[in-house]
Amino acid sequence: MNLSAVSGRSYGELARIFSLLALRGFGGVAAQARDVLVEREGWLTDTEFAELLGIGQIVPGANVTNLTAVVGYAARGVPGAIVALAALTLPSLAIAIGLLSLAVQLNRFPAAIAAERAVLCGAAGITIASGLRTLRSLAKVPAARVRITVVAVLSAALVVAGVPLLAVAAVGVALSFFLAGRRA
Amino acid sequence: MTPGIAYALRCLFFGISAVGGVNAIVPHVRSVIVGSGWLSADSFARVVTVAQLAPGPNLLYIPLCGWAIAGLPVALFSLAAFLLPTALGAILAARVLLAGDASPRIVMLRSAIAPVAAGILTGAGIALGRAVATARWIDIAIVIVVAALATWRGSTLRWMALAGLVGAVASLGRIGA
Repeated sequence: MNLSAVSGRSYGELARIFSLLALRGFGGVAAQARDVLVEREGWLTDTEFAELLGIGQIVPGANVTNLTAVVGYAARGVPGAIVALAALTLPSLAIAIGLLSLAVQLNRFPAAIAAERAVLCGAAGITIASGLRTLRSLAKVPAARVRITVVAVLSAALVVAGVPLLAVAAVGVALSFFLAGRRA
Repeated sequence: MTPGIAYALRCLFFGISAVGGVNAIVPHVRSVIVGSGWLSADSFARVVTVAQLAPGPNLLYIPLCGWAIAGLPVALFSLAAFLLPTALGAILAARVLLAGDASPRIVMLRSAIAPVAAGILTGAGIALGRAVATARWIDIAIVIVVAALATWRGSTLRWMALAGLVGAVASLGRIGA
């Protein structure tokens, strides 16, 4: 597979990177996946990240989980995929199990609940920013700028309008493919 | 068959049927779990809430339900059953789409997918913001300010920590008043 900065990464690196991005991922891990894999560690370019996330979206399952499996596989084959998936899910699962045991007591601390909600609002902002930064990077090619922006804005609007993600992906990719074909 | 084993087997199908994301199948998973009497409606709701609060991928509610039904082994089996078949599908798809010697048509398809993914990510952030920032101006302000700062300066964790601090201080201020 054509992910040059990923191939040959060690199991230890896979475990570190994917547990790191999962434990930072309040309110969804996609934004942290981009921040860690693209900006901090340089494992993926923005284009590779967006392509992998899109593939992960079209295939059944969670988009970031699918992206994780592919990156782990590109690094170390099937064992790499399993290590990356375990790192993404198991530390978070341990925290969630601990939280579930505390869930009843948590209701007694209004400041903690307000902080948690504000963190989720922050997570929403960071997710928006991840999409915009990816888009900005994709749109650097002058000839494709208008097409890419139109497709991205339409896809975002459909998601906000509550259209199921698979339908958004299908419509978006069909339109994007059609527009790219006309230009070619 | 014990509820734990029955649930772990059902997760095979939950994973494959999670087309368009794992949040899309929450109602289906709920109807199976509550309908089979494995968890009460209240317990299921608590599990989903906790899974959303905990850091990590959205599918956390699947193994967490397994844990609530029958403990750690079922949590791990349900997680594996849910994600391994879809991971295999993603790897096979990526092997075709990301092949070094891909045909021009595949390369075009790949570049058609990327802007859609960027748009879906942006839209998902806006949708999350609309779900959590309910009518309180401070919540809405946090979403907008963090989005602007993170777009400009990079999406680091410190904006989220700052948001949490602002939210906590604002709530304390209201209690004091």
